[in-house]
Parts: sequence; C-alpha cells; structure tokens
Amino acid sequence: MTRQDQMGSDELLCEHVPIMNAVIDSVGHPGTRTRGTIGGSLCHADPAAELPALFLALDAQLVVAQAGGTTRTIAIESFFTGHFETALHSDELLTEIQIPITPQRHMGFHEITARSSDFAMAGAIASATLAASGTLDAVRVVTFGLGDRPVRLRDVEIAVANAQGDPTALRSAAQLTKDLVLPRDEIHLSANYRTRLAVAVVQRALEGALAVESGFIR
Amino acid sequence: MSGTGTHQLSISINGRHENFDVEPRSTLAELLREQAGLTGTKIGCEQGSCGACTILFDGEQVRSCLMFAVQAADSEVWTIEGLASPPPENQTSPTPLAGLPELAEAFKRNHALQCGFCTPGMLIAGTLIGEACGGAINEERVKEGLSGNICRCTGYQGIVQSVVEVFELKTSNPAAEKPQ
Repeated sequence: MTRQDQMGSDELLCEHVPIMNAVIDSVGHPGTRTRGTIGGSLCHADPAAELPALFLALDAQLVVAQAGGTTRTIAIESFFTGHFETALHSDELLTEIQIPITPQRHMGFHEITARSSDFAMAGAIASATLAASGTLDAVRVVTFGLGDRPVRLRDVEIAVANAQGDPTALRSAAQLTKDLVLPRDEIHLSANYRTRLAVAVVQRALEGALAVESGFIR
Repeated sequence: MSGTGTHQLSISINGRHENFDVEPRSTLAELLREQAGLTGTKIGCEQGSCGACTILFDGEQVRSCLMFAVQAADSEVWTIEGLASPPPENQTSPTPLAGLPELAEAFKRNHALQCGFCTPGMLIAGTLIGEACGGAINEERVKEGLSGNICRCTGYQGIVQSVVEVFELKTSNPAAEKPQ
C-alpha cells in the first residue's frame, strides 16, 4: 500500500506525472495523507476526489486479486460505476495500478474549493503528449466533483486536438464542457453555477497543460 | 486469536514502552484515552475530519481515530502530554517537535483557544507545518497546513498568527528569546 504523501514525494512518479505534487497537495489534509493510500482513494470512489480523476486521465490499468488466487485487470474507464461504487466484487482487492509511460506528457490540474483543501466544487485534469510533428496526441480531459464519478470529456478532447494551438479554438473547446456535465443543485451552489465552474476549471487545466512548458498555445 | 479475543501489544508512548491488551475493534484514540489514560488526545468526529485526535506516530502526524490500536504495535507514539511537558528524568530519547511548548505559549498570548478541544491537534499540526516551512513561512502556508484541523471557537486568526509568529522568529534568529 502506497500512502498518498509518499506518492507526492516520489521522484520517478513526479517526473512522469508532472502535476503529481499539486494533485497530492489537494488530497485531504497533511494529517490524512500520511495514512490514506492511492488504492484506497480509487476504491472509495468519492466523486469529488482527485486521484480517481488523475488515474483516469493517465489511462491506468488496475490489477485486482481475487479470492481464489487469480487476478484480473480492469481498465480504469470501466472501474467507477457510480457514487462511491466500483466494478470491484466483494471478494476482490486492488493490488496494483499500472500507468503507461509516455514521453513529452504535459498535464494541467485545477480545482475550485470553498475552503483550502475542502472537497472540489468542480475540478479538471488535462493531459496531452506533443508529437514530433508538433501536433497533440492522447488528449485527455477529465472532470471531477460534477457528477457521480469522474468523466472524460471526449468532445472536448477532440476539439483540443483539432485546435492546433489556436487560443480561440482552445477556449471554444473548453466551452463544450457545459453540454457534457450534468451537475445537480446543492444547498450551497446551483447546477447552473457549477456548470460555469466546470468550464472554468477545464479551461485552466488545459492552459496549465499546454501553455507554459510546451509553448503549444501560439 | 478469535474475533472476540484481545491482542497483546507493546507501544512506545511518550518515550516509555507500555504493554496493552486490546480488542481488535479498538481505535488507537480509544487506547490512548481509556487504557493509557492520556485524555489530551480528543475524540471529535471519529472519522478523520476534525483533527482533534492528531498524534505523532513514527514521526508523522496521524489521526488516531483512523487507526486500529493493533496497527500501532511496536510503534512510537507521542501525544500532547509528552510533547508539551518537560521530559521526565527516566526518558531515554529526546522529545520530538521541540518548538511545540513555545507554540503553546504563543497560543496563550494570541487567544488561540477558547474551549481547548482542538488545541492538542492544532499544536501538533501547527508545529509540523511551522518546522516544514523553514524560512518560507507565511499565513497562506500555515492555513493550508492547518486546513484539516477544525476550531469552532476562535475563527482561526490567533492560531495562524501564533504559528507564523513562533516559526518566523525561529528562522530569522534561531537564538532569539521568545517575544513578549
């Protein structure tokens, strides 16, 4: 079992997942990260949690041990099945998380919380690799805290790949978010407001992934 | 060992090895309060949200309500009693979190507590974030470091101010006397 705070200080992991530190800083609090585990976060499947969204954006494969000594592998896209619900059976245990190593992976992360380290009212993670030809590959845009599980926004991903670094086209891509998420009204914030937050976090995550280091945005 | 039996374990608490007989269902917080008699560790939410039961477990801050007592076998635990008091003569290893007693004094000056229920957790988490910040301490980092500790009396201002005050001073002049 790997504790959350171990993951934030692991050099190899931070090298391949450039937003690792920022994400871990947003998971729970210093006093919970010393005991909370990565696998625990995934199996708990809190819809507002960062780590399920992060591993969804990373195309993780989850290796699960079964009671009889056999194992099976679950693609993370089919792992989260609802509010705090996963594809795990009652006699299964998550034992391994595999992520593909991709060179030139650029990532961005943004979440909006009411208070420092509180649950996200809206959050997004973006990931893309820069091909030798200068185009974007493997674009992933994931939101969390907006529905019953983290979701990939495929229409946004396609629009981002087609944007070719044009800032206006990227902003239009982020705008597509409002038709792809279906947040509910809650006591402190309306569905309408959360939808606006969703667009904002997607845009900021994309800017984080593409603007600064990669120089992809023209 | 049957499910209803007890487990025998040894834990170093506040620098002294002690033996306990615990039920498997007992949390570490319950062991500390009910068996070790160390009631400075408070039980607030019992689900890891409030930080009142924060202790130092093998050098890291941990919520003692989120651990079973049996998970603490052969570990080193420090509670507020050991961290805030002068070491007894028979104590062999030095007390960790050396800045904590000074932070407690700053809490008094700055009205950083009223009912005191959150204070043990605040002092431990506050000392840890203060020490971790080194020269880069500021209000934002302290607020982030204490974000998991809930206080319902003070409004946090005095608590944050105390941490900044004590550890800013330590960094700028390690030999400085404590302020008035």
